[in-house]
Amino acid sequence: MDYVLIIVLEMLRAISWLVLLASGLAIIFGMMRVINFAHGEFLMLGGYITIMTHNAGVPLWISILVLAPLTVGLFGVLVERLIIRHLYGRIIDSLLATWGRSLLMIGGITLIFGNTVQGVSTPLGGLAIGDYQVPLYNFVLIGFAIAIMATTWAVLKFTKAGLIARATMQNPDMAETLGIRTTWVYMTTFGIGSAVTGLAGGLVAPLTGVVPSMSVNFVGQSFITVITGGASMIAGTLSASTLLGTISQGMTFATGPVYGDAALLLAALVLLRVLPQDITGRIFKKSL
Amino acid sequence: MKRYVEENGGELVETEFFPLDVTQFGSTISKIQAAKPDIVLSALVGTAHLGFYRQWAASGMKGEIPIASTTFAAGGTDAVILTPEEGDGILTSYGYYTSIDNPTNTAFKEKVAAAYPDNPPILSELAEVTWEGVMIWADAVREAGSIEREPLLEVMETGKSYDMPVGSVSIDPKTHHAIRDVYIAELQDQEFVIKESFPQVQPADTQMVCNLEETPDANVHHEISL
Repeated sequence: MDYVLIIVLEMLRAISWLVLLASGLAIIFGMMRVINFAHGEFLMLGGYITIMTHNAGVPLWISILVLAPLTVGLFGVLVERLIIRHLYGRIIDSLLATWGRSLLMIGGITLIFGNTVQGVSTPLGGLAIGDYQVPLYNFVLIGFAIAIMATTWAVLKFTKAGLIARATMQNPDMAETLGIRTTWVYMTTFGIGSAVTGLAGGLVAPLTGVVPSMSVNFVGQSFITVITGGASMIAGTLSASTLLGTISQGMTFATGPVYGDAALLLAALVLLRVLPQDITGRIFKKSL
Repeated sequence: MKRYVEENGGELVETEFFPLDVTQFGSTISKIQAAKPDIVLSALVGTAHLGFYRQWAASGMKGEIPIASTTFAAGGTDAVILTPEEGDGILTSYGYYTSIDNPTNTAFKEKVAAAYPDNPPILSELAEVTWEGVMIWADAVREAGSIEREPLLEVMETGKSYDMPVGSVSIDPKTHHAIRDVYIAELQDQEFVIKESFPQVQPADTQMVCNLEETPDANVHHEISL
């Protein structure tokens, strides 16, 4: 019984993990059809800011929840103004530019901080469930995944800003005609997407080793989730994360991590074959 | 690992393998908590896998079941990236630790520190054996007066012993591998404290399959069967 509970918790954790990794990317991709190839480096930057500020004496939660998203968000705005803004609608060029930026960020961080910085321990300790103990931090991950999805949904659905964002997403020319300055919408969206990614990076930091090249461990999962889910930020991210997280974690428990990883890839492959227009292109068409 | 566990009367409960980009170890840790083994042997590598030790500590497993590793901090950096609360107590076994106490090692560490005053590199087995290799080669070149392969081999095969930071090292003529000291050490406060030393260990694994004294021109890829 305890074991079943542990498996369910781990699956929820895996789903939240994918939601956290992918939502920043999904916000940017969903709004402006720009694929941020430096997504992994934004995560890394969030992680670095968290551990550097924490090692300098800032309380861990402030580092994770305030400093990481704020800094990465501002950095995102800067990047949008300087680079991305010139490349809207040129998907290949923007891929190249963001990829170049990812290399630049890896090199820059290595140059500034070096390859090895002491990380931070996972806070909060463990929770005993029968014979098992799980990190309480898992619940933080699950909580934030829910919070990010719920906030995005509420903003898009109920606020004026959300309405403007959706209008710009659906038809930028028409939105412009109605007096919306779409470039500002894009800039804000890119900033918010970056901030969410920074937050995810901050949340990831106490779980794994933070080094300049860490992004390779996360970009695969982020991109697969967004591509499988499709362009609608919430339904797409949620459905893809749930599906892939459950399948991969189920396989991991049943057989081992190698097959868990393989199952995630296989599930994504099958899905894209069956639904070439991704999940939200086919099933939840009208959703956000 | 399997072989050593079984040879010494142990029982292998389970083996799991991890792709290098796996950062989440919750399922594995739960499985270990269910199986309650006496010890966990880790061959995890890379920064993604550091997540295991981090989540192990976060799951309250630190100090419950000991962890030994033949890969942890092989390059030295893992010991610094983990905080002392997470890393203390991990056992490793390598052919070099900075805490080895002899004059050659002290001089070696001083030279390295002098060469990189701003940012002294972390020394590990990988760094020290590379130094050994170059120094042994240089010594043979000096003695043979040549850089050709054959005369160098002749010098090294004499079983000459070299005074290295790890202690005395010599070349086994049968396998051309090193006969050297090996240690078991425990991580304490990001430094390895030597617990046990095994002087002049023969390269027993390669000696099982390779004999260059009998077949000096052997050109085979040996596989040691487990």
